[in-house]
Amino acid sequence: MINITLASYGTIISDAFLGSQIYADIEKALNAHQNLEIDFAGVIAMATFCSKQIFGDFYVKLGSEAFFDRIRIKNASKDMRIVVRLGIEKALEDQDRNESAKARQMA
Amino acid sequence: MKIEFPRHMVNYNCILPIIRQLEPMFKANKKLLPVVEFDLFKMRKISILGTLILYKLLDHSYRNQCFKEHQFGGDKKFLESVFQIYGFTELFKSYFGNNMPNDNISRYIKIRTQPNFIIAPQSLSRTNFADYNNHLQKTFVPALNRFYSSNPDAVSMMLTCISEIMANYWQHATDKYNSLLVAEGSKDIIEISCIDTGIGIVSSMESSKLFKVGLSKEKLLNKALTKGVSSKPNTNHMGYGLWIIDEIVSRTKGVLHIYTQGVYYKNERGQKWTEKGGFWNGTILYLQLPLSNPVTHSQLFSTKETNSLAPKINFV
Repeated sequence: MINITLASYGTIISDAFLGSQIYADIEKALNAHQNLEIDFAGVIAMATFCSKQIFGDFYVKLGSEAFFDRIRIKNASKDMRIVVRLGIEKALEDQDRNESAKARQMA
Repeated sequence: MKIEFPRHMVNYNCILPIIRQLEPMFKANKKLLPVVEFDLFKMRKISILGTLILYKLLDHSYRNQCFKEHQFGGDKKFLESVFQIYGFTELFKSYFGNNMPNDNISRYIKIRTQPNFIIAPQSLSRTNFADYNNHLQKTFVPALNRFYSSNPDAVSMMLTCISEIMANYWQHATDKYNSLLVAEGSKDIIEISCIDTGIGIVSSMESSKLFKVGLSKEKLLNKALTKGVSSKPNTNHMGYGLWIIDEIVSRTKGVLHIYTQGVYYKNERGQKWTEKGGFWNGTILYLQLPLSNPVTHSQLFSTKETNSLAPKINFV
């Protein structure tokens, strides 16, 4: 299992550039390893935008089972757990809406 | 054109009287009108918010060639001392010398802490991302952390708000719009202001084409503060940022003011209203947070609020 420490990117993750750096590193790690541990120790704040950008996207891409099996999130405070969850929920809502729209178009 | 500044430009009440005078300036882009006079003769007190507004006015006028000449009238010694305190001396000097400052403004701004207060400016720049992020992570956040070390929940609350503000402004954080965030606080309260002269909230909402044509500016601004409503659907914007800030302000009995394109929203200790008035091309966001009872995500979102999709996340 490989580890990615978010605090090495910053204790506040608030913009799309930083989000895309983290995203790219997670993607690289998942391509090379079966399992990944993401360490939130030291992270004080993450914008909901970045949560969706990183966690929401991977959740949709991998699917719920693979996301759960392959990615472990450790040392996330109560607040950071909520931010991660919000990002994923919003990405799932978008996916659901887009699929419904496609289905309507097909019909 | 003449812009009159009030005697005390120290809190959020100073914003509207100034921006009521500004529509002609924002309509003067590329017109090189003869002269603008900044009348600061009455001014006796100015906070970092007032200094930021003054700087952004001057910056906008220079960058957009609104006027040929910029005249400043006021107590020079007083103004110089204020600019020194807030770290704006070099920025103003370059304008007074009729030169544009270097676009990398983060090299001018400095954080100051005293026993009882902190002044922390942070430029937002996508162009100079490395400098911006370096200052944010290595200077700005550690300084706030140290100053409020006895109140970690307050740090979490203020950085939650700052991260959402930054994510919102990031879209337009180019040199042209020169977004700047400043924080000034004591142990009991912090004021955070962020100003740009980019695309305002009203235009962003209108361009999304999500809302009825002809919806009033007030209604569009209110939509921007509604949970889950974003002007950028199918992007990573979630429409939570401004709602989270607004909720934190209501629950902590703080103050949130947003001024954008001729309309403003105020939340003062939970009392909210939206009206037309003044004109700022872009967005002024002002936030005042009492720090005695900090509110964070875990108080805003209970597990019951999650939707039925209930993602499976391997938290350890």
